[in-house]
Amino acid sequence: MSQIFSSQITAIIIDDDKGITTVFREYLQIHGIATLGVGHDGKSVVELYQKTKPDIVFLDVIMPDYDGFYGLEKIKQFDPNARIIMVTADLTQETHDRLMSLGANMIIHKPFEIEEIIMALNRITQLEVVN
Amino acid sequence: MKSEQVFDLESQRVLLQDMNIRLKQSFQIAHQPLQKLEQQRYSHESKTNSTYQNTLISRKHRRRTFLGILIIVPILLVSVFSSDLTSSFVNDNDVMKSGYVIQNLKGDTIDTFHSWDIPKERTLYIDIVNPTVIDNDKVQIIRDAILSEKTVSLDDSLFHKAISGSQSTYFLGWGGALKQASQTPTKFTIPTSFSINEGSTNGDITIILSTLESPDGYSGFTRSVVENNQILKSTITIYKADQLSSAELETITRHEFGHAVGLIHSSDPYDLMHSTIETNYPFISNCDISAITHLYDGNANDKAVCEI
Repeated sequence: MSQIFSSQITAIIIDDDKGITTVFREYLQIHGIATLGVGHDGKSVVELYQKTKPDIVFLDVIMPDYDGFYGLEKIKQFDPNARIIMVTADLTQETHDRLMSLGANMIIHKPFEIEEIIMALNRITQLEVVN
Repeated sequence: MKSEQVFDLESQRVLLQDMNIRLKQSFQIAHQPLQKLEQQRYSHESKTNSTYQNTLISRKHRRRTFLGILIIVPILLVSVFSSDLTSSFVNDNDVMKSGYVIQNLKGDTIDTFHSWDIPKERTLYIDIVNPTVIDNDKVQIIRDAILSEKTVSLDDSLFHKAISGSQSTYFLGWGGALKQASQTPTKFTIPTSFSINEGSTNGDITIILSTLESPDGYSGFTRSVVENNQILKSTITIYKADQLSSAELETITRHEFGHAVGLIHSSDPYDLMHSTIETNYPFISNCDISAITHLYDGNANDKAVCEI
């Protein structure tokens, strides 16, 4: 099994809410994306990224201590090509601009709109199928 | 922070709702064969019960039926005779066969996705993961579907494109097809050099031979990672690879590799790149080749029209 999943699209999820990470992990699995790791603050994401080298990072913005801005900045310093999707309930233009200036590849807003999630997944992993 | 908890809960609800829908759909697909068997069993049981009841009824009412027959037979004779009179004006519709051919003058289309953007002469590395689940002959079939430059000429009437007599050339592998496509100058380099390795997972294109069944009922599935409008990596999963015949494996590989190089689906049901493979001749057509040149000439997310 590990061999089968080793070259699938891979992701890590960072959110201080453990409920979100659990459900989101299951959701990604249904869409064929393997979650290599889960973290709960902006500091652990950097270590997690260096360790797992995922294709995509889902990173919450508002977290205690080390927030998503910190995590985003550090990952981009380590790997400017990292694909990072920021997840936030903060709709302000200021936050949007700051995230984009730090190199966020996409921003998803909470509460999720399912179309927004699917669009995000499709933009990063184009799914082609045959019966 | 507290207000975000509400958003988190609402987000979880949205995800769970969508997961529920998807799992229900998968469940229904998985249980379709079972439902058919149930229906067949029910139908068989109904017939058996009906026969048994008829037997009982006929025993019980044999005498009454016999009298009934005496009355009904003359009536039937009259009605048969009268229907015989009218039979010369009425067609027997029990067995009707119809056939038709539509020649699409506009031409079918193939949707294009994104192209690879590689330097000239760059080799694309292809990995086959889990090659041990199939025998070596079948691994060779996968290699051929990708690398072969062999062609076959087939009568156009087989594809409902024209009446018999005219022929078209089809490629058996993408190696030859892509070389043919690269004869036309394009904005981006069409990949023509491939190296296939077994067991590794670091290549540009990975082919996973899975022994598992697709939860969505697919035979093959290709994912491509795209950034800045170019494909960076493609992963093909072939489901139940250990149970596929050589022909099935060859067809699925050929179709999925078409996705891996940037094509989506054809509107032509007789084309290799149609979403469901219905053709008996699943080879790479001139239409697939012209879609590749169209795509690599800078026409991503577009429709390539197949000229007849």
